[in-house]
Amino acid sequence: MSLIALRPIARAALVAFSILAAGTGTVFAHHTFVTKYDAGKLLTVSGVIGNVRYSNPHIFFDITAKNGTTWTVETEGILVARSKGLTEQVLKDGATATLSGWVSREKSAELGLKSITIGGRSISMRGTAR
Amino acid sequence: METGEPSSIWEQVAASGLAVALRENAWAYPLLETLHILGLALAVGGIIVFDVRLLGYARSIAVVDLSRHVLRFVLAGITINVATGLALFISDAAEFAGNRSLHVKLVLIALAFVNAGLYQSGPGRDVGTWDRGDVPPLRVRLHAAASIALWLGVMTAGRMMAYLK
Repeated sequence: MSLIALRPIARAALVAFSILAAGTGTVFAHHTFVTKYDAGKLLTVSGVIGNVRYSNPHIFFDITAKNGTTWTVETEGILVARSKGLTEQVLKDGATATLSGWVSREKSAELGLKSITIGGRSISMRGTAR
Repeated sequence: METGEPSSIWEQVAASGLAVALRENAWAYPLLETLHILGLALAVGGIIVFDVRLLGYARSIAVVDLSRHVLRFVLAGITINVATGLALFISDAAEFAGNRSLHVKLVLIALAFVNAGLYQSGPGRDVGTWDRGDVPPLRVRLHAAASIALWLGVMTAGRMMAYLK
């Protein structure tokens, strides 16, 4: 198909997208489009692992520091975690770990996992905040 | 879960054996997502191809012939995506039930179906009078434009579920 024949279709698509953008813009006007975790706030926590939810699309678990503070930690999905060595056998309730993660912009006690030292090995899960 | 507080219907769904299996099996979730993209391609792809014809392009193809060919792929895509969408929802029902992008998506799907119904019960009934060579009536073109906008909105809202909760 020639470029000229495609042009009106492209225009129609543009109009459709504009209508759409205007619609979603209104719905989410008070929401800024940001990532969940703050790339500027990296935190290191040592403590005991608990409440492991080894699930897709993302794995969640808690870590309770010596001072009693509990953080909920989010990391990759099952296949990625396994391939990096963060298996169900390693990431289990009662294990001790030291981890670093980015602090959530939304929830006060939630971290996006960057790296973790657990079961005698250090695993880098993610290079940048999501 | 809060102590003593009865869990919501969505928390009960998310705690069911099926939901646990869907999210704790390594391959179930990625496979469902893959099938959901296949359904999206078939449904929204077919809908846009058909709607562009209703806008008045490719008029050498009769609307009735194109609908006979394309709409079965659309129905297949919708069937796949209702099934896979329900399964994905069930896997983490409590989380998804509160997801505002999903609310927007479901409203847009409803509007898209209403729009399609109004076309089918309206100008679509006498498609035989304009389906070959002619530019379709204005009302038909408006239904087609609305359909494209709504389905692109459905797709976008679906993708935004991971970003705008």
